[in-house]
Amino acid sequence: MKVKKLDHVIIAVNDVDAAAASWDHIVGLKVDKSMNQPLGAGFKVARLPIGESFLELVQPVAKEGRFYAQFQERGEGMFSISVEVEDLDAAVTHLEGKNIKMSEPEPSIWPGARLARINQEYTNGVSIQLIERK
Amino acid sequence: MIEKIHHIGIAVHDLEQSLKFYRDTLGLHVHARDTVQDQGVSAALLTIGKSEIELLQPLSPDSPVGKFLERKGEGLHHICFQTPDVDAELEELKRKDVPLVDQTPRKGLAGMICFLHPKASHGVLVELATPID
Repeated sequence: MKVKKLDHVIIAVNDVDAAAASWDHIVGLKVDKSMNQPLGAGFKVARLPIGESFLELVQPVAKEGRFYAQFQERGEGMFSISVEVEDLDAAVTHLEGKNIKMSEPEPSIWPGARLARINQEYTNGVSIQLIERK
Repeated sequence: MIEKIHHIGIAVHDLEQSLKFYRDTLGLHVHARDTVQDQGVSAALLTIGKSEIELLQPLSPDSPVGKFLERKGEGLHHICFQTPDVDAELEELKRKDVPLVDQTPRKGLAGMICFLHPKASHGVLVELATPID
């Protein structure tokens, strides 16, 4: 499988606007795009570009869903990393061939991208998603 | 000025075991291995695009990474941003009263580095680094 880059780092926050202000204050990162509950997901999100990657601030809005449940357990902080691959289907086939459990590929909230999640038991506790951009 | 994400630090119990996934399965190249006694870590640095993944195994339970593992278990530990001038960056942060772990830059795996206090960034441990050529 071919990994291209670290696409983005997902950071769970209580309040997207307050967190974005802090990231600007400490390292000068700015929001270039924000969305409220994209694709019906129960969260608000803001994107802060940095080099070839970006930070994705995510704030739960709906009190349900996968993200909310994990946020309740873990609180604010680094939540997940997104790794860009050249070919998502090939990557999933490769990993499943090594007996690694993957989620079914699904559309990303970022237009034109698809992702699949790697089960955390294989990744030393790190939530990793693979993303393919077209 | 921040140029890029230099690396993402991941705390692990066993470096060799973690390489089975990050190196052998994900296929990332290990470009350096290092042990930093005064930070109490043994590390493997893996290339991912223009950034790195830094796998960190504590040398003892009472090191910072050892305490993190004890408290939270394995997982994402910190994010490091590259800057051309860590000294200037740190002075600016002090001027703005940003809570810090390090008051002066010190030598780390990524060059001259400093850590900010996680309360400066809503629970994220942030490191700044200027690589040494």
